[in-house]
Amino acid sequence: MDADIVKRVQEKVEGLTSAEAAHLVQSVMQSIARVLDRADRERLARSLPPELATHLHTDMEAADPLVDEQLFVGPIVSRLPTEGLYDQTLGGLDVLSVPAGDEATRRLRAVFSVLKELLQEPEKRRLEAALPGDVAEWYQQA
Amino acid sequence: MSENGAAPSGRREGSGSRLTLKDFANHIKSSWCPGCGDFGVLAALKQALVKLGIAPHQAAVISGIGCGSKIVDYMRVNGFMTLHGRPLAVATGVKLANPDLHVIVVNGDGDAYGIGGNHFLHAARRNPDITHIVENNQIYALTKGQYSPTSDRGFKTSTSPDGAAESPVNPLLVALAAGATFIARSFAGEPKHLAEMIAAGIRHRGYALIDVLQPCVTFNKVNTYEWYAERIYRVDEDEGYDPADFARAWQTAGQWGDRIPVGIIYQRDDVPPYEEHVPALKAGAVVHRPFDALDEERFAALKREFM
Repeated sequence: MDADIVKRVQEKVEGLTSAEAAHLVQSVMQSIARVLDRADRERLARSLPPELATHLHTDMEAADPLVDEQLFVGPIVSRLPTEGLYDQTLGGLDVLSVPAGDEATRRLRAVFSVLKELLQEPEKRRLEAALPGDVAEWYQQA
Repeated sequence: MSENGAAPSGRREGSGSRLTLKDFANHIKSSWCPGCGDFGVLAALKQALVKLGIAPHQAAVISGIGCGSKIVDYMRVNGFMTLHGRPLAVATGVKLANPDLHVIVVNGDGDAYGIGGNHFLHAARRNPDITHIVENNQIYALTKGQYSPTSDRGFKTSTSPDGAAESPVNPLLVALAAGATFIARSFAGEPKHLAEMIAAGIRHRGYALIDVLQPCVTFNKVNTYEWYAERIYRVDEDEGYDPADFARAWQTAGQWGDRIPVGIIYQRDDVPPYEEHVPALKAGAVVHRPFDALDEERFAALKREFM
């Protein structure tokens, strides 16, 4: 992963190690790949540094129209702490998944912000148009 | 529905050709964790019903207990959340009472392969016309993180702090051995493919198992979206793959680990569904029988016979 991109993500998400930042970027690029057709993926890849573009690779020909904001952020949430201590009242572990979802969205916005710094205006707009529901809104806010 | 109360004519698709996903939406807000694979199953199930033109009143979704079993609350369709592990039994009853309904069971791996393991075996051999979607996240998530029948050996949870000691259940092999006539697998992270598998399962006349590889983002940090994406491959990419070939299906279903097959693993279409063998249904489905035939005298006779 390009050290500069990793560093830029780290600047936007406090406390992230370089390995965590690199993995975060990879997860976001893979989620983007699932909502783009092959031609759009290839066009986007040409606009990005090769280290980023490589994560857009998938065998899928067409975008998956059923990938929504939940499936988009899922890979990011998977990497976050979501369990607390033992629940003394009900058993099992306390769940921290709601704040994890908020944190995943914050991290996603950070990567979008770096991506927007790298892309030209037409490519930025094309990407925004392809993003599902709330994800497009988070992209706008980034 | 048939006017004469006769057994279903084998119709596989509904009448609602102009349906959209919104027809299956309701106002209930999901309590699933952000990023949960259950969202992929919900989207795919709705899409499959839309694709087949099956309207909400033509389908019944029967679930058990678990995170994914809450799916009946989150879509506009006939729904029944049953006891833990029992949805296949209830679904069989629903199908026998009203064979015109498209009966779909949705439950998790614990509900389907653990607590409901006996029903799974017997549904597979009995072959009722039921589509069975199992959200297999390899953990009990609703009860906050205990290892399940499909957890890999060594998987650490609150109930397996030293790692699960047992070998996991391979549901595809169990279903094959038990005589299931349709066995497929898909991945919740690829809901378009999952919708195709669900639609194929609904079209199939008989018991159809769709095992869904599904990340639990909260309690399973091993079998993640990334983990599955790196391992799955589609059996239909091999042009020579024939789902009717039992021996090949057996070999394919046994694969797990570095390469995990998805797609229609096995299918045979020459076994009539269970409801066609039930003598009591020869006179037509229960739902079509007139209530007025049940006068006081006959009702009393029935009570004497069964109570």
